Amino acid sequence: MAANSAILDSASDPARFRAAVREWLGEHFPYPGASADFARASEEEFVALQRWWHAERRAVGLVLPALPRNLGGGGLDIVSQLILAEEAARAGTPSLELAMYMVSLTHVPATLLEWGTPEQQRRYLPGLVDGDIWCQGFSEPNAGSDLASLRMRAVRRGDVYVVNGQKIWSSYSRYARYCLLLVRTDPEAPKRRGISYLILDMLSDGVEVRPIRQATGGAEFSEIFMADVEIPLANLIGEENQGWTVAQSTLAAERGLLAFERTERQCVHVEAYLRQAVVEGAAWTRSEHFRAELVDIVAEMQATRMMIRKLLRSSAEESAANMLPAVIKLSSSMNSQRYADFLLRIGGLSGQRLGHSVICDGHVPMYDYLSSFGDTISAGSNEIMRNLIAERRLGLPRDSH
Amino acid sequence: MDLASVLRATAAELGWLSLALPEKVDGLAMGVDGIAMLAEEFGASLTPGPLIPTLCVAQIVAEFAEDEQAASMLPPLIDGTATAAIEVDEGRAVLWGDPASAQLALLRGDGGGPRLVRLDPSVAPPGHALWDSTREMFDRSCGLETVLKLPAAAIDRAQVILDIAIAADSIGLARAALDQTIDYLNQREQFGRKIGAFQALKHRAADALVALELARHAQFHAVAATTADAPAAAAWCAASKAMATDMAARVTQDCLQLHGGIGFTWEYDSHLYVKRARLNQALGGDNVEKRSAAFGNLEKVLDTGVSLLAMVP
Repeated sequence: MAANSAILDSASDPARFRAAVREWLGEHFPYPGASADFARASEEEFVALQRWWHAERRAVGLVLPALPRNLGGGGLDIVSQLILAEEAARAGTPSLELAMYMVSLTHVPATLLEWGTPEQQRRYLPGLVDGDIWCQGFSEPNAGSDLASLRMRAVRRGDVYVVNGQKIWSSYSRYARYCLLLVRTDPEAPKRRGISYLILDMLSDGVEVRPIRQATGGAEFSEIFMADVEIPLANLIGEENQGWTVAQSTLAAERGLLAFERTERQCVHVEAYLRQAVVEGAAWTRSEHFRAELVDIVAEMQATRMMIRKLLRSSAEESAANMLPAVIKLSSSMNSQRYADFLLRIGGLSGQRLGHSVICDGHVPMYDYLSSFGDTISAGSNEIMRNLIAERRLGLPRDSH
Repeated sequence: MDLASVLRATAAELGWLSLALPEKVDGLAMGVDGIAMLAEEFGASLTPGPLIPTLCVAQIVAEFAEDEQAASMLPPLIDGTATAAIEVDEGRAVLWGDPASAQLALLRGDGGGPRLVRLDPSVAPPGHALWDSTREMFDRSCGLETVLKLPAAAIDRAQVILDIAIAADSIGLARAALDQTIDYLNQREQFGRKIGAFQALKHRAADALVALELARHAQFHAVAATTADAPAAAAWCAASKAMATDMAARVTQDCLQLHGGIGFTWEYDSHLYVKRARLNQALGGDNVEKRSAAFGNLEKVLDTGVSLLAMVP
């Protein structure tokens, strides 16, 4: 199905592009089911919603806005991508990049474009546009913050690797067709030099996926168990035993855009919540304590948004030197946790009632608060970020944790 | 000449004292952005003297006085021969400035309303001794000859300038204190290794850096909002002042602690940063009240239906 490219064609003029995006979003949002927040709908509703919105984006060529057009992407520059993310946040669309399609739309293209063979790119990139779901098999029960100590073993036999072991914290892997998999191919080498990077077809024999129920009650993650799973040698990304280097591209994939979209969404929510509280004369707006706290939270949020804008303008070398991505990861995750914590305390006893005690725009304070640990723990825990900042930005000694 | 006077003369020579002023009085029109840049370096170098009140009052004169009056009041403030003071403890005529060189003072309210008064340094009262030995305050309750009545808008503007300058000074001094601490952590050895290798200390240093970056970017946001005359600009400036001064109080406290015994001595600089940070935190009143008042400003903007959180491009 060929996409209607009218919106993409307007991208040479930012004002026209914004108007076109806004008009298109206006046809779909506010979404009739939006009162029950997307992320808290039932499992089936959530999956159906994500698939529906993916299809709508595909129809206008906006599944992969940044990918070159000859590879099925939108070919948008950074300015247009920011406009798209801003308008999506404003309209309250489901945030595809943050949920079921995150790995497919962010990590897979970044990894394949840099390290994939032309054959791998031809084989897998078009499927991303068509809606293939990918997951990530990096963490293991004994390799979390110390990812490089991973032990899932891959042994070469003929033209396949035979893989055994266990992965954990793999988001949306129950729905995934493929997995970006890190395995150990040389157990004798120093830990970072014996890792290889494979593409796993989740339908292979010997793959078992078991959901993990998380603190919010949902089951977004799963464990992946693998027993004598055969993966063709052709599925190796990069050289054998160079998987750690390839994985750095995957981990660096988001370039601040995800943080951008997330803080823009939070900002839209904060403004709506504040306006509602002021209009309704909510009791807390008369408490000096809460007023002061909210002002500080919002000022921090604005500061984080300034930092993200700076990151988006800076080169890879600059980010490596000032560690701005780690600073932003820390400050944005702590700020959302602080905001959720604030709303939870404002909610008092009613915020403790299980279920959908929605305060504004589908937000449930306890759910948001519990979810915020997803940000403070995942993608390198905040403690790992502190190590990185101390060692690489401030220049403190690198060893002896 | 004392150090503060030498520095003031040098600052005048370099054109710093007119850099923020509008072009009509031969300034470089860098506005609050320029004041923030200067104040950050004053803080980082623990520069003594009343540079911030002088810059603030000069800006108010240039923006609110008639041309003729400005032409007579500004030259001594720009060439460094005189300074200005500003009332910081409302209603009690406690002025922040140097009693020996201050010729002008900005009073905020009270019986006479917002106004500029002329001071005679030859009959100056002695300054209050402050823990922060780099700045001075003094009482001036009588013998104040009003030279210019100011509209309320001038006081609001002065508050914005002060908030920005004090925040920048705090960011600068926290930056310098942290740099000094990082050097120390990379040099001091205990248990057979550099103490900066210990994670308990690394994490405190990283938290200080993140707090510093947040305060710095909240300041950029406040300055951009002020320059663009955004609807909630004054609230962002107040929030930024509160954030930066609380940050600097906390960071300098950690920096002294991370030095151990040497940080507790009079000879070492740690306490100078602590004391300047604490004066900045106290200037302009309690930070909780300040944030709460800023909330009131945000409420008013929300009432108008204007987008509150839109980023100034």
